Amino acid sequence: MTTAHLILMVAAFVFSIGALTFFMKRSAVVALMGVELMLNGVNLILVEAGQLHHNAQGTSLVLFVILVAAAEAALALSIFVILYRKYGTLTLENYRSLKG
Amino acid sequence: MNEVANIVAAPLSWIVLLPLAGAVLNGSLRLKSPFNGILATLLCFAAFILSCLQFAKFPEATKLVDPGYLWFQAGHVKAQMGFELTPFMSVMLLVITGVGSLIHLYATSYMSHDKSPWRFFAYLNLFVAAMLMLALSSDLIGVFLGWEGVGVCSYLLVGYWYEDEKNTRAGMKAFITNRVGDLGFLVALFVAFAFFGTSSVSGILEWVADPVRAAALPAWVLTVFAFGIFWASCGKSAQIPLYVWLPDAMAGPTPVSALIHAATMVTSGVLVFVRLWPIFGAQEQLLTLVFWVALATAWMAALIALTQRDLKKVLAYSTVSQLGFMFAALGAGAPVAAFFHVVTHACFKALLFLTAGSIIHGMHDEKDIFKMGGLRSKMPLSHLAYLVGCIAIAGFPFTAGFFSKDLILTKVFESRGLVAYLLLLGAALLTSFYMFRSYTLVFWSKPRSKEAEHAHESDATILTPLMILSVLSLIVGWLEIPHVMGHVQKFSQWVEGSWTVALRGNEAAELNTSTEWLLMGIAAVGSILVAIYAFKKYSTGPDTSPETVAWKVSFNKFYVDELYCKFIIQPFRKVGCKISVWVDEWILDGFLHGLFGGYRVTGQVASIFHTGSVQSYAVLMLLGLLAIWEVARIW
Repeated sequence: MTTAHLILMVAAFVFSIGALTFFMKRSAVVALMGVELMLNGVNLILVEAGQLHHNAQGTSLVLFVILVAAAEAALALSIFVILYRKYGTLTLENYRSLKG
Repeated sequence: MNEVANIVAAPLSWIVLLPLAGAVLNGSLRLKSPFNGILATLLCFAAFILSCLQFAKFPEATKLVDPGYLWFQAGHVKAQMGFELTPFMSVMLLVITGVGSLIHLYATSYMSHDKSPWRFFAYLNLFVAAMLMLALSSDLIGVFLGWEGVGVCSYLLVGYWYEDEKNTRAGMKAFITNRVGDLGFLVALFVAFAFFGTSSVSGILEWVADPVRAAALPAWVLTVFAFGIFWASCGKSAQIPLYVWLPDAMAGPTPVSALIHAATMVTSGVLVFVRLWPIFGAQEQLLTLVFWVALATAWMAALIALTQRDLKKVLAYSTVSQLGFMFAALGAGAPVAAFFHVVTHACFKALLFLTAGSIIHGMHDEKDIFKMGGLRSKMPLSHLAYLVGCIAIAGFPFTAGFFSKDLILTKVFESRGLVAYLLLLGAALLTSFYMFRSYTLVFWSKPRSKEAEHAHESDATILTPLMILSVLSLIVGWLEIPHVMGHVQKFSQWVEGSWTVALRGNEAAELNTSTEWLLMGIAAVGSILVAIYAFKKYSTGPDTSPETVAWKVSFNKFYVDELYCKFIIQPFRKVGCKISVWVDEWILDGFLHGLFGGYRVTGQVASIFHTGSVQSYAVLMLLGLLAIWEVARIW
């Protein structure tokens, strides 16, 4: 097993942990953490892919992802504030207004 | 036929196009009265002038042709939008455009107080165009187009005053009854396509005239073809059993009754018959049928006319009866006699209708002859015109009706024998009776209503056509005088060059002089005596004797309308209701129910996944991505 394999498996593991966290945790804040974990898993893949192809494209893309993730986290946290004011809770099960 | 004598590229299409242009112009410009009428009259008159120019080419030419253009082609079926003119049709052309022009002129005054006369004149011009199309088209499809065109115009004009539901109903009755007849025309057309491979009139006639090709046809083909045309003619030319629409069609304005329902359209059945005579002439059994149907029609209509009170209804039934005479002549194998009667009838019947219009106009739309009376001093010129019309239709000696009816009676005597002759003579004498009944009731005795006391003569625009038609009604008959009285045969000589095959019956032995004098004398003296009897009977006013059964049967038109209603219309309506309910419930509603049911089920299934939970959406999204990935990989 090469280093590349190892790094990709770790990345997949981190992504899966993040996805499961987002799917299963009841708290909105923890779910957001899951999203961040998924992004980090993807970042790891991008960096490794850049190393494999011997160029900086993947690595430089990661910088953008980190930037967007930071903005997204700020946006999500402010949405949580509004949601808490409106529903008095941050438990995802209580948000059902999209039900068809 | 001599090809050299055919004049190709005669301006025949313009004869049709001029009235058509009038219809379009009148329909779009919406001129004020009297300019709409003047426009229509001028264009119709221009067509008349052009017709005269074509007519003048005739003694030299045998046939004028305007090849036109190929209208459409479907498989081996070609429809040529072309025109051709034979000597026989050239006479009809003059009648259509000439009498048509006079009636347009008359209508200019007659319709001047109407709400929208431009609409009337647009329809009237359209009618003339369609009638000319019917007469001139070289192709049966074109003839059919004209045939339907005159039907549509008849419908539009009968229901012209559509605010009154009675009129629209009469229009629909005319239209639908004619559709029943047109089925026959369509069958004939299909037979022509299937067996002759052409629908051009000359093509069909050539086929029939060619002994080799004619022998190759199954015997029933020509019979079906001829019967189809006869059935269509029963509709258009008001023969039993399809005559019922014509009396109702009198709901239209009087110029319409004169032009469409007396002079031109109702004779189109006879025209098509005469034009295709080489086919009909060989159908012995069909001609026998035609003769007896025509005889029955002539009698029945005459009997109904005896008791009618509506002036226009009397004239309408008299038209049906006269059409019976024309078909009787066809049934007796004498197309020239039938066509001669078409021409003379067009003159005197148009005259009678227009005079009736003048009377009704003067009487402020009162049509009941029992409420007229004593009009001869108030409307002297209309009186004169009506009298001329009456003696012409009754067949007084030396009038138009005398010569044409005498020709028909003689031909019937020659080919169908004494009994048939006497029966037809009876119908002719009835004509004399009911016409003089109406004449006496309208013009003699004392006025029987306030309207009659204040009746007034019509203006010069109305009277001029009456005078011209009066003169024509007296002299047109002199074109064909039997040989015992001077032997003029201008008409038959003119017309007979129109067919490639010799007319049947020419070889029949000539009647000897005394028989012919006798036949003529009986008809003439009989009609005069009957006229005098009718005059005496009604000169004191309407008959007030108690109603007899015969009177009731006649007055109620033999209850034919009621019988049709009970045995044809109501069963049809019932079946139609059943079908429409079934289609409505099962096909239309079924389709809609299925449609929205399908949407509902789809929605119900889809809404299972709409839980509202963000996390379940995320799972579905991931599954969706995996599915797309999987599909893309397998591909």
